[in-house]
Amino acid sequence: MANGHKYTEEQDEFIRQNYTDVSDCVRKFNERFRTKLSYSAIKTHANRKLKIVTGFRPWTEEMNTVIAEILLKYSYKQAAVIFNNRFGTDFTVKQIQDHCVRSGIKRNHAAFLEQVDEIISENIGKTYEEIRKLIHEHTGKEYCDYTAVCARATNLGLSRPHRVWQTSDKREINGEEVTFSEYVRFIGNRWNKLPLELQPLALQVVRLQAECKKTI
Amino acid sequence: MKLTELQSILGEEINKVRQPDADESVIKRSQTVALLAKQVINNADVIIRFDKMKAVQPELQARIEELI
Repeated sequence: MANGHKYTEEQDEFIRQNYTDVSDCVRKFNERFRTKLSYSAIKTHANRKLKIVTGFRPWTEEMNTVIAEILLKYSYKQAAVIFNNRFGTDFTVKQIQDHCVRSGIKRNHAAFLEQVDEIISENIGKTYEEIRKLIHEHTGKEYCDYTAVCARATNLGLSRPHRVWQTSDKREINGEEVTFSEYVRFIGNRWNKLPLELQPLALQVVRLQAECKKTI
Repeated sequence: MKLTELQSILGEEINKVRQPDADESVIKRSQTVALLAKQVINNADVIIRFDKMKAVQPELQARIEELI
């Protein structure tokens, strides 16, 4: 029936008026004219004969620019959340990915990681924490802790010279300088995880224990 | 015992141990005080954590009290 359907002027006008969403238009058309035309039949007729398309184009130039900027810093998953919050849209990660592929918007993550790897390679003599801060300074990317840097360095086959803590090294707990023995005892008891109010007291205990050991 | 009192006691014990004439009995006593103080600190830690958790997640209060 679809192949042989002859569209009347009234039907063409109806399509012109209602062609904002194809499915919706097909449903209304079939109800109004009591036909059983398919989705593709009406869409083909609208596109080829009437030369009209739906106005459904949610991606604006501004959106493209913004998503490209977001993707420089974030993964697709995070970018989808940020983007939807900003524009009040409800795109899925897949929709955003597909759109970016179609529009030639590249995440450029590989290039970014190359930059990170370069920073790691150049500064491998420094601590992972220092490298983490350098990455933040140079790229704006802030890893939440240094283990990510450690993992990347390991993947690159780089090993930072292992730093052995010397007993002469100065260590601090809550801004107070402590000896090697006191520090080890404090950490050993996991008292660094105590509420801050209790830590001075805990420090006194380890100090007493260290003194006792020294005297023996 | 309040934590401030414990702090004073620990301070006194540290001073005693640091004395050149501190003998074995003094050291043993200090070690015992240190052990007790450790226990007090750990207890205080549990209480503080419990109070914080009660404030943040009141629904856990009954369950925690059951365990205690």
